[in-house]
Amino acid sequence: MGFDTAYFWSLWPAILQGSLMTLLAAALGSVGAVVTGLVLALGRRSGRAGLVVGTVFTEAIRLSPFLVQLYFLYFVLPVYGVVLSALTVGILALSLHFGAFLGEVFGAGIDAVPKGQIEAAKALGLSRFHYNRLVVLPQMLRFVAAPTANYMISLLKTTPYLGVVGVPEMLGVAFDKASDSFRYVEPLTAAGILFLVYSIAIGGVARVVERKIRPL
Amino acid sequence: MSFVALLGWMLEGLGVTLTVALYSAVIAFPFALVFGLLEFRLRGPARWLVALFIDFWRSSSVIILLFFFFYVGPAFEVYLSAYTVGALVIGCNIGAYGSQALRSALESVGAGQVEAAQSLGLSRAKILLLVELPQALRKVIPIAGNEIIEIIKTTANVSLIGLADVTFRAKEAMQVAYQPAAIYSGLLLIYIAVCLPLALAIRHLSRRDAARSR
Repeated sequence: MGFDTAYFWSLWPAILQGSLMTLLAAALGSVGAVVTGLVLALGRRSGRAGLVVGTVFTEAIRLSPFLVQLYFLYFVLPVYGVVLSALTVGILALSLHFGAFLGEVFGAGIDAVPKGQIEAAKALGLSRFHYNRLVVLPQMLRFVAAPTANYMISLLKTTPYLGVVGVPEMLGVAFDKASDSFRYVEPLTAAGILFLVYSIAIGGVARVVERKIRPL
Repeated sequence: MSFVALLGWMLEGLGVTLTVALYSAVIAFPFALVFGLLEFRLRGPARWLVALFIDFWRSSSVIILLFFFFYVGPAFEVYLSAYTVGALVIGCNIGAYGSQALRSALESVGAGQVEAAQSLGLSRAKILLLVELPQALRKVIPIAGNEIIEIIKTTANVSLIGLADVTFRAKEAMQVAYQPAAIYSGLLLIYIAVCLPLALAIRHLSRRDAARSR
């Protein structure tokens, strides 16, 4: 078998095309995860019901594999009449999975904001919504920037799973090509290399973010 | 099939899941120990090479590496069983994360400890073995526990290279009886049931540790 260099280079246009899908899913998944994380962090701090629901959800996500969660959403939602495209299910799975982890991070960040700040905001007559948005969140962001960036890298590394349910992202495209030609070496090598490049690039961006946004 | 029958069907794969997890752990923990120590002790280009090796395993996606070694190996006459590929990839990936935890724990051992050991005339090797390592290992116990959970979760991937673990059995059950809600809720429950006792034990351990060091 060995390595067919010409075939390897001929794969790049398709793999790069697939990588756009990877980046799209990762970007939308990141936004979804941040929103989910914020809802969880604030929800768990807003009374008993929120605490119980938030904790059960977080632990269930943290103690089961992403692959299983993805299958669950992909196969079980249609049973209840929620029919979504594979890409949407994938983005939803990424959002919920990483949202659970980010919820913990954001929670720790919120707890790190000094109590006096909130008391002062309340004394000034700010509503819950306003002091969360104007006082707590801006300060929390500085604490959570670094760990959040790390979870975004994990999220990017998790997107190839979407290929398993048929999203034409990088790995999915690589497998399509492989099953056309019965050659696995070149497509998987190409996908692997491009992936490594993306991970390193995002790692670099994360390091810059870490340096720029520091706790006060 | 009833829910209980489905659970029984899937649980027949638990042996494979736990076997892969065990093999992975056998690779992950020595990997973390050796490379954590090397990155801590080495200087110059050697350290750079070790860091590069660790980063390779940390920054690539488990699923891509699994497919890569499983499908690409045979093209170069390297025939590894699915068990070996699974344990190797999962072990090195989690081990690489673990090595960073150990390295940062080693770096956080107080300089005074090392100076005191030096003034007692201990050799560099003995300082590492008797002073730095024991303190660092104690710090990474809860992290090691989390790595075990991480390993068990990551083994779900080996269903994609044909090992009949619980996730694989769930997919089989889907073909025998199309009951997605029951099957996949059951599958989630199985993983949670395996990992929850571990998570509780870790929480207990780290609470006790925090109380002691106060």
